[in-house]
Amino acid sequence: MEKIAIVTDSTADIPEEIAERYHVYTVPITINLDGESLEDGSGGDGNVNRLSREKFYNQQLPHLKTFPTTAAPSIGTFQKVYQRVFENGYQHIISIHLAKELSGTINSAILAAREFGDQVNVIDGRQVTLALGYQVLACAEILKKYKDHNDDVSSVVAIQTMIKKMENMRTRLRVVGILDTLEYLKRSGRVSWMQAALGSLLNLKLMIEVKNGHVDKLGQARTKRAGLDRLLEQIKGMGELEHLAVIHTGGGAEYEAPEILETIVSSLQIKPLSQMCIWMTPVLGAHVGPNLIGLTAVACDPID
Amino acid sequence: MTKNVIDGQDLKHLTEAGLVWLRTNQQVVNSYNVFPVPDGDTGTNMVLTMQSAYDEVSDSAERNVGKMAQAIAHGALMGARGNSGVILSQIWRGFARSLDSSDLLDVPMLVHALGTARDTAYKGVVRPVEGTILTVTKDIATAAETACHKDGDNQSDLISLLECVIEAADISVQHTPELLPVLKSAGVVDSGGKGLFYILEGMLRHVQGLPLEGVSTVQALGSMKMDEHIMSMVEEGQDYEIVLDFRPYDSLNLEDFYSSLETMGTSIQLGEGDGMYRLHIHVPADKRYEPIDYAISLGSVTKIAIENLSVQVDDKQKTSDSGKMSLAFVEPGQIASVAVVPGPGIARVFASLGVAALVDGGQTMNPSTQEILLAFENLPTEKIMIFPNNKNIILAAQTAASLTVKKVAVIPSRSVPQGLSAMLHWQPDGDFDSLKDEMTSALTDILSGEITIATRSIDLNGVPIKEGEVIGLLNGDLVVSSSDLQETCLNLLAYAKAENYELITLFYGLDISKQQAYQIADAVRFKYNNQEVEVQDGGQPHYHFIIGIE
Repeated sequence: MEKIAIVTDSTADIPEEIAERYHVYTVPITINLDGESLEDGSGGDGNVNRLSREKFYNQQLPHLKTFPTTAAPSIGTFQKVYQRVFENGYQHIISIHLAKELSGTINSAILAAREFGDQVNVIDGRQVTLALGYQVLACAEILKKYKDHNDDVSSVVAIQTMIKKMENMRTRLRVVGILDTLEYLKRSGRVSWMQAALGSLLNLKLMIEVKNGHVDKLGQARTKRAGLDRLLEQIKGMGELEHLAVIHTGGGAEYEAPEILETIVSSLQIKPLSQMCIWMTPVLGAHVGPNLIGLTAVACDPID
Repeated sequence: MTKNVIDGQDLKHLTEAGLVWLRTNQQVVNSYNVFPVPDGDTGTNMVLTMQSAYDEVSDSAERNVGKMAQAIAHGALMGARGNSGVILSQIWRGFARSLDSSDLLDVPMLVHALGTARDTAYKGVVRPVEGTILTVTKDIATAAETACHKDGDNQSDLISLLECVIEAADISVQHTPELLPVLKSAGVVDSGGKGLFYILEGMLRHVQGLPLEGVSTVQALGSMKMDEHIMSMVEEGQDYEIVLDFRPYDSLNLEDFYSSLETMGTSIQLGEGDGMYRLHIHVPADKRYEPIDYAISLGSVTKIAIENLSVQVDDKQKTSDSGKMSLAFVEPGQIASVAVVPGPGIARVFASLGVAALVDGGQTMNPSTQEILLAFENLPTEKIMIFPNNKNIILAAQTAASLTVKKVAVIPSRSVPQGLSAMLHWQPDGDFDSLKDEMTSALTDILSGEITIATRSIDLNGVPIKEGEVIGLLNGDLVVSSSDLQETCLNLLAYAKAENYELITLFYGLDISKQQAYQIADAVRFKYNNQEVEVQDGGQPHYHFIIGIE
């Protein structure tokens, strides 16, 4: 069969070693810190200015004079990546990215793909962070299976199979989080309801959920503990899990995250097939601020 | 004097008499206050409920006694305030239901109606407590049944039956402290039961041709504070309030006493306890020493307080600026939240969390069923959650909920912090029943503290508390007291083991300044340096602080 490559972007939050193992190409997104432009995440051209997550959240972010901003990769960036993939011997690309409502990334990808005719399929994963990453990895699993079984499947069928798989997974996943501060999300301009959420109470922890490209308000709590308890209930309500991840943005949350993962796993009757605890990529962290705890889970069966 | 049947007009006049006599004795009923805190005033609530009942029929020429009773019951229901008011409205409802649309009421019908009133009243309360107005209702019904079954015809007329019922009510009220230990330890009888007694006694006085107004009454001394105005309205020219304590040399002739005072001023009230009297009176500036001279002529005066009321009124108007707030906009089909709020600052916080309608009310100012109902009716949606935020308002909210065709869930918040805790879970597009469960279970996620001043001396749970001391209540129970505001706050937090929680929110009330509140907050922060401490201008009356611990 034709060799198909998977391309995604750094907002999929796939840890570097896993991306490498599955041959997933990751396009970095640019983050601006007090006038300095840096590339986010792993992959890309192996650029020099790659950002350490721990250093970003715990050393740089607290001392920035201005709020960080992010910029979608250019059409040229995508074209270079696609070019390199084809030079590496692939005949086809499936390029999977975060929801169009949250970033211009997919727009650049679509425009870059035009240069390559039918060879590049750009797919909106409707999600972000590992909710996007798990979809990408599920596609990689399909390709791996074809390869292991020596199946001769046409690119069209393979890509249709992957799209179906992603659609199916999106009915089984949830991504929720509790913010320590409302400042960053407010400035990001990604949510329309933010002004209304800024209440008279000073201590208010906002809980959010990303659903089909939109950041929704899931609820609010006065204390982090109370908010986390409610998030945990949401995850437990999903039934048996395939994947579970705790995603944090440092600022102290890195110490809580492993405990939270342990708490959820120990409360589940059947353990998830995979579990991980990761730092969120800075380009997303710039929009939610430090000390966030996020949970991404994929259930075995469709939810709702 | 005998009478065997009454019609609708008779019932109307009896209702009016009950109302007027209750109003005359309103402060007496208010004075039977279990906790030494400014509580929902039972007498005031019952008067407002009866007033609403009577207003419904005051112009009516209806002669059918059943229809008249139904109109009265409807008015009572709409105006019901506070727990006693709601139960009173249920008594009327049961009474009216029993009469159906009978033209006239006779003895056997009255006996039956009192029984139905009792049953309806008990059903109107989730967990009936004995030693309250309910017990008095029950004893009245039993007495009527017994009297009716007695041989001989001396009980066969309505007036004799009424006399018998009132005697039973009186005995029942006196007996309430034996059934409810909290009454006994406070040295009072049940206020709601006493209110019911006055309504019935007013009816009898009307029949007997006795006066219902201008009659001197004496209330429990403890209810009258030296430094608080009982009257909220200040009449023109009555600029000074005089409060004085005196012990007369000889027993006081009440009628002479009142008529002398009436030449000096208005709003006269007299409290008595242990041979000691406390007098309240409002007088014009040039007569401000006259009540004092008069009291000195009658006995030894131990304490005098004079206050300039016109200055007080100005101050109050200055501080009542409530600022801006915007209520959540709900669309048809969404779930709207309604909160009962005791102060403008607390109203703002509820509004910022997404409340769609607010009803003013709290301690000593319980909103009526009608006010709550109106809030429901004015919302553009059919699905509503209400937070009463006070234990005395839950029943009124439940009654209002039962009167609307809309789907209303009462989330029984007994305090402001509980209401806020539940409100955090609000989702306009959530599933109604699961949201209701979630909110109800969130009520216990928080501890509620209240700091206020003891309105009289009391020995509660073995703790002696002096009038004027600062007391602290945790989840409604009086747990700490001291002479100092800051000390009581810290003691309350220590009692609540606040060190085991994350967040302490202090809502400061009308009676203390922002500076004072921040000073106390700093002391709390110093002691609880691992906890977040948040200060909010609550603007509530009576309570120096309402505290959430979570």
